[in-house]
Amino acid sequence: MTLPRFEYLAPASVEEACALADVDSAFLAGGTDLLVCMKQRLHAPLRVIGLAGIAELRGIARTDEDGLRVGAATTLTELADWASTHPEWASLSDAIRQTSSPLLRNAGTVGGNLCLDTRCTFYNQPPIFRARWGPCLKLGGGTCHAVRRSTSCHAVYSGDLAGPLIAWSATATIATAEGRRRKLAVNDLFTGEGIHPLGLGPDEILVEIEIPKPPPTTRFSYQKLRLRDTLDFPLAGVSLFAEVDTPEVDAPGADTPRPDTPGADASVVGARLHGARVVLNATGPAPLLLPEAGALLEGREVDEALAVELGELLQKSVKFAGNTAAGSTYRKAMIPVLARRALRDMCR
Amino acid sequence: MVEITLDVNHSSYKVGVEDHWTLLDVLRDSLGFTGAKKGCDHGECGACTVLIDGTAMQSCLVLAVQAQGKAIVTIEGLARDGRMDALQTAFHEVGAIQCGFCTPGMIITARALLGRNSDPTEDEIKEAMSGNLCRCTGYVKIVEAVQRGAAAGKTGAGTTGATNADS
Ligand SMILES: Cc1cc2nc3c(=O)[nH]c(=O)nc-3n(C[C@H](O)[C@H](O)[C@H](O)COP(=O)(O)OP(=O)(O)OC[C@H]3O[C@@H](n4cnc5c(N)ncnc54)[C@H](O)[C@@H]3O)c2cc1C
Ligand code: FES
Ligand code: FES
Repeated sequence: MTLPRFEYLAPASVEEACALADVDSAFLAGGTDLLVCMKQRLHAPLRVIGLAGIAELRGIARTDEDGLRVGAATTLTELADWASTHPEWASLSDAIRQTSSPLLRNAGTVGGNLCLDTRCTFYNQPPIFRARWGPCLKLGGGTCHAVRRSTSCHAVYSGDLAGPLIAWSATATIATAEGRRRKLAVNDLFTGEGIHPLGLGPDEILVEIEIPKPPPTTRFSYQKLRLRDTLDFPLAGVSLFAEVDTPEVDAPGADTPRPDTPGADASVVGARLHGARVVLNATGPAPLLLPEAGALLEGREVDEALAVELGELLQKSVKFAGNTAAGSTYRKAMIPVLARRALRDMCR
Repeated sequence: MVEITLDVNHSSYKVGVEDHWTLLDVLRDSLGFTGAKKGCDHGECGACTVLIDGTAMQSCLVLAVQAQGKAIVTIEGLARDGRMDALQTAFHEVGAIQCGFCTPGMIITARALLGRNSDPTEDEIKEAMSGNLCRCTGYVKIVEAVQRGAAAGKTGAGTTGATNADS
């Protein structure tokens, strides 16, 4: 399907871009989501404002506190390549490389990823399919097709980076049309609403994110559930970021490699966790930071019992709607498996 | 309609485009570079992959107006002086082609990979090519062809370099 007609604008600065924007325009970064949505006629902005020519939005730099400042239009490939060559950031690179495909990461940007719209099997379809069941809440209709009689939209926030970045306590800088800048935790970008998942106005731009330098004993794991090992959006994700005291003597089983299909016997043992940040993603309309999971893990030694407790807590925190490529029962059953894999990564 | 200049396969073309036209449509329908294939038009298959400034990109998700001032290479631009690229030769010799629809995208993605990493492992090849789908071959021969293309590149048989401009 061809794109709907629009006027293309290529501003040179953030301020100019904000000034050009309104409800009838859309910002274009890598285009790997926006252009697909436009081809499917989910959006038909009159003006498309390209961000690629804005120098301020590009690049990776160190902050004064040795954290990272990443311009919103930095591609996922650029950030993953940079992170993979810096040991304290390498686990972030592993997470980024679970996003989409290598080709899409060459175009897709960090900002575009965070600003992804929510997705639903009843929404992200060509018009010919959507016509069969009529407009849903997100398209201005009166019903949710995923959860019948629901008065709220259950579309799923399916970006891969938000969960990991929230776990790393990242902040975002937003430029407003009045020429001001505001800074907020990445977690606070999200409204929790399926229809409008982001708390950004149509004329506000995500300029950059800042990721604080992780403490030296930090480990991070992002466990993503997807049908294929490439291309697919997450069906669920668990991020676990923690400072880890590794055991003095090698605990038995601590170096057991992860089996492809972890069963009940796949034991996790060894490390003690502090300051853990646990985030679920692709489980609902926003990523979900779970302080209670962090509290559960605090100071505890990772063992089988803890893996079970964490799995149960995470499972209780989510309610899946049947609107992704895999059924809710399967996704729910996989949450403890993802939690266990993340805990095992803490012990490596 | 605006007139833009596109640098495709080392030649410059003036072409009239609308803002909403994709690079893929302009390459195929306006300039005749039909080697770039339209499989899905939605970023799912990689058949439309071209090199843009040496990076493999899906041209169905790039606007033609965004490609101004960049060096674009399609499969038609890989052969030089009547000699096929080492990867083209390898795909041909190994038989990594059945219907051939995915092949231009596969070869372009592999060319970009070899530009970054002249001696990739089998896993690195599989990972780098994982955005290019093939409905026919089962991928075994494709991986073999990329390995062979890499080996040929090292011994100087065929051509090397991401944009192929230096051969
Ligand atoms: C086949 C396929 C598979 C995919 N798989 C995944 C996946 O597994 N995981 C995943 O997370 N994503 C996936 N994606 C989506 C997408 O490729 C990535 O999320 C990508 O990082 C989006 O970035 P972009 O620059 O291309 O965004 P764009 O498409 O340019 O923009 C996306 C949205 O963000 C807005 N936006 C972009 N930049 C800014 C900014 N700086 N300020 C304010 N608003 C902005 C745009 O207006 C638009 O609404 C997939 C896409 C495809 C086509
Ligand atoms: S045609 Fe572009 S990815 Fe399929
Ligand atoms: S050879 Fe037919 S799609 Fe790959």
